[in-house]
Amino acid sequence: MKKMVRTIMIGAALVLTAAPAAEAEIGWHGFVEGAYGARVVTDPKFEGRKDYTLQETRAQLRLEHFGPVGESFVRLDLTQDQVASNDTDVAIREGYLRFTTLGDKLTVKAGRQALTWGTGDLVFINDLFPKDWVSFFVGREDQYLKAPVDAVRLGIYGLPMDADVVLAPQFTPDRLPTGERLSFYVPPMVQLASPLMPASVVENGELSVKLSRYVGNWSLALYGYSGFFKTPIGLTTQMHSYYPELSVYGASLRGGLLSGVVWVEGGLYDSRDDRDGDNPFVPNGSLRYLAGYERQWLPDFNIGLQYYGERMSDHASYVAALPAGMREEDEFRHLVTARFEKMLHYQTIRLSLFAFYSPTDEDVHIRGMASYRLSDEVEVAAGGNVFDGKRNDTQFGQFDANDNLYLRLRYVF
Amino acid sequence: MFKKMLWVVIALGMVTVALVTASASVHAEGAAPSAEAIMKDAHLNLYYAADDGRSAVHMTLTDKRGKTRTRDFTMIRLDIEEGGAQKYYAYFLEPSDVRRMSFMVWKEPEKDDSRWIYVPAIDLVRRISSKDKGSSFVGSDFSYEDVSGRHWTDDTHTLLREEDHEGTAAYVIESVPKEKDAFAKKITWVSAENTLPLREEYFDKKGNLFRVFTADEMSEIDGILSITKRTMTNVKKNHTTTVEFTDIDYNVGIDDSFFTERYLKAPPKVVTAMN
Repeated sequence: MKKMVRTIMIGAALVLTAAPAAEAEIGWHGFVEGAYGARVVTDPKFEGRKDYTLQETRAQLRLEHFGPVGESFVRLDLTQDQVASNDTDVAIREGYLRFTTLGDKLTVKAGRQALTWGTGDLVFINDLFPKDWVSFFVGREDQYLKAPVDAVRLGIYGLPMDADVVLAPQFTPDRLPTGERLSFYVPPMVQLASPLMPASVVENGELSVKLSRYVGNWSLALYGYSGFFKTPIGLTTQMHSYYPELSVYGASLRGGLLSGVVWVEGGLYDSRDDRDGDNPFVPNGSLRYLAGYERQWLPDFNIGLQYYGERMSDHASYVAALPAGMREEDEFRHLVTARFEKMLHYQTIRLSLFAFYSPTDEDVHIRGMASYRLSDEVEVAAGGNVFDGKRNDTQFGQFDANDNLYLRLRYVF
Repeated sequence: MFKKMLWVVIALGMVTVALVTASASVHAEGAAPSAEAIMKDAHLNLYYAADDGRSAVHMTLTDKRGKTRTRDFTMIRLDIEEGGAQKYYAYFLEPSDVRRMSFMVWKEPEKDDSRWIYVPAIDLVRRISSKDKGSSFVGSDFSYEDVSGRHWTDDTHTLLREEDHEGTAAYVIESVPKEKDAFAKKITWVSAENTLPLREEYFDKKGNLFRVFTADEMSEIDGILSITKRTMTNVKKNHTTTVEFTDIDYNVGIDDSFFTERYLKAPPKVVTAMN
C-alpha cells in the first residue's frame, strides 16, 4: 500500500513539474481490461495441471501535458493479478519529461520510458532494451513486450548523422519466465536461485548509441551497446547463473523496394567475459544478421518474411573446452519468421499470425490472434501461443508444454 | 450483304471523324479548357493550396446501422513541388487507444509512397508497405490516395458536358485509369466557378456505381477557397465517412525537417500547439 501511494505521488509530481498551475491542461486517458489465459496441454512441471497463464484485471491511466518548456507524460498500470502474485500492484510503465534545447539541436527525454530501435520484426539484434518475454508468451498486448527502462535519452541533431544516446544508470535485464505462469528449461547443475545481478555501481550501467540518417528514403543506422547479456546465460564457477558482460556493434538499412519494405541488420556480439571463446560456461561472441521483406499483397493484407542467423565466434575453441557430457551447441543457428496480417470490415477486425521456425534448433513458435472492435471504446481479442520442438532446451522447444489460449476484453477511455 | 455492311461502316467512320474534328476545333477556339487542364487545376486547388497547410481533422465513420466511430488528428502538409512531391504528417488524438500515434507519408508521383507509423507505447517506428494506394486510411471510406490525391496524369480525361450541379455551373468529366486500378471509371463534377471538385462517382468494371465523394462545405481561408467538409460513401456497403477540417492555416512555415523520424517520435510545436 505504501508503495502504491508513493508510486502515485511520483506520477503526480512528474506531471505537475512541467505544468504551471495556471494553464495545467492535463489530458488523461487509459483503459480497463480483463485478460484470461490458460494452458491447453498438461505440463508435468505444473503437476499435470492445466493452470491459468493469465488472469488479471488491469487499469491503465495515461496523463500528459505539453507545457511551454516541454512535455511530461506518465503511464500507470494498476493490476490485480491472480496467477503469480495474487496481489494488487501499481507500476509506473512510463514517466518522463522531454524538452528540446540548444536551438532545437538537443532533445532530452529523462525518466522511465519504453525504448525500441533496430529493424527486425520481433527479432532483435541491436535493440538491447529490456523485453518482457512472459507477457509476450502469455498473450498480453504487444505493447507489454517492451519492459520500461529508467534512462536519460539524448537526441543530438544537426550533424551529418542524428545521434541518439541512451544512458541507463542501472542494468535492466529481460523478464523471463520464472515458473509461475510458464515452465522452462533449467540446465543440469544450475543453481535455481535468482540469477546474480551486476553490482549496482556506475560502471555497471548500460550505454546504447545509435547514429542514423536518411539517404533518399533509405534509413541507415549504426549502433553501439555496452552492458550485459539481457538473459542470465553465463555460469559462475559456483554454477550460479549471471549476466555476462557484452558489447555490441552493428548497422542496419531499411527502405522501400519491390513494392514493399526491405530491411537488413547485423551486429557483432563481443562477449567480454569470454573473448577467447574457450569458457563453455559463458557464451561465445557471435555475429548476428537478419534480412526481411514485407509487402501488401491485397488491400489490408500484408505478408512479411524474415531470416535471422547467428554464427558463433571461436566455435573450435568452444568445442575443445567443452566438458564431456555437455551438449555441443551448433556453430550456426538459423531462424525464419513469417507474418500474416489481415484487416476486415473497415479495420474493425484484425487477424494476425506470426510464426518463428528454426531449422537448426528444430523448434517452432506460432502466435495467432483475432481482435474485434465493437466500438471506439470496446475491443475483444482472442489468441493463442503454440510451442513445439525436438528438444527441451531450445529457445521455443523448452516451452513445449505451455501452449495457451487467451481472451482479453478492453474498454478504453 | 458484306459489301453493304462495309459501306455502312465506312460512312459511319467518316461521320465520326467529321464530328471529332468539329468538336476539336470548338475547343481550339478556347470556349472551354481541356478536360485534363480542368482536372489538373482541380487537383492543385484541392491538394496543393498554398505552400503548406495545417488543420485539425475530425472523421466520422457511419456504418449501415447508423453506428458511428470517430477519429481526430492534427495534420500538416508541405509541398516540395507544386503538383509533385509532398510530405504529410498526422498526429492522432482520438480514439484514446491511438492517441499520440503519428503517421508520415512522403508522396512522390510515379513512385510508391514512403509511409511510416510511430507506436509510442513501445517507441516503435514502423516503415509500412505502401503498394496499394487504394487501401483504407485508418479504417475509413477514404483511401490513402483520396487523402493525398490521385495524380491527374494517372487517368485519361474526357469532358462529357457542362451542366448545373446543385446551383453551380460545373464541368462533368470522365476519367479512365491508364492502368488497371481499383475503379474502372470516375465521373467528376468540377465547379466552373472555382475549379474545385463538387462530386465524384466511382464505377467498377461492370459499370456499377460503388463510391461517391461529395464536397459538402467550403469556406475561404487566407484568401484560399477550401473544402472544409467532405464525405465519401461506399454505396455497396452503405458506409460513409465524413471529414471536417477546422483551424485551417496556410503558409504556416512548416519545415521539411518535421517530416523525419525525430518528429515522428515527438511532434513539433506546430502540431502540439493545436491540441
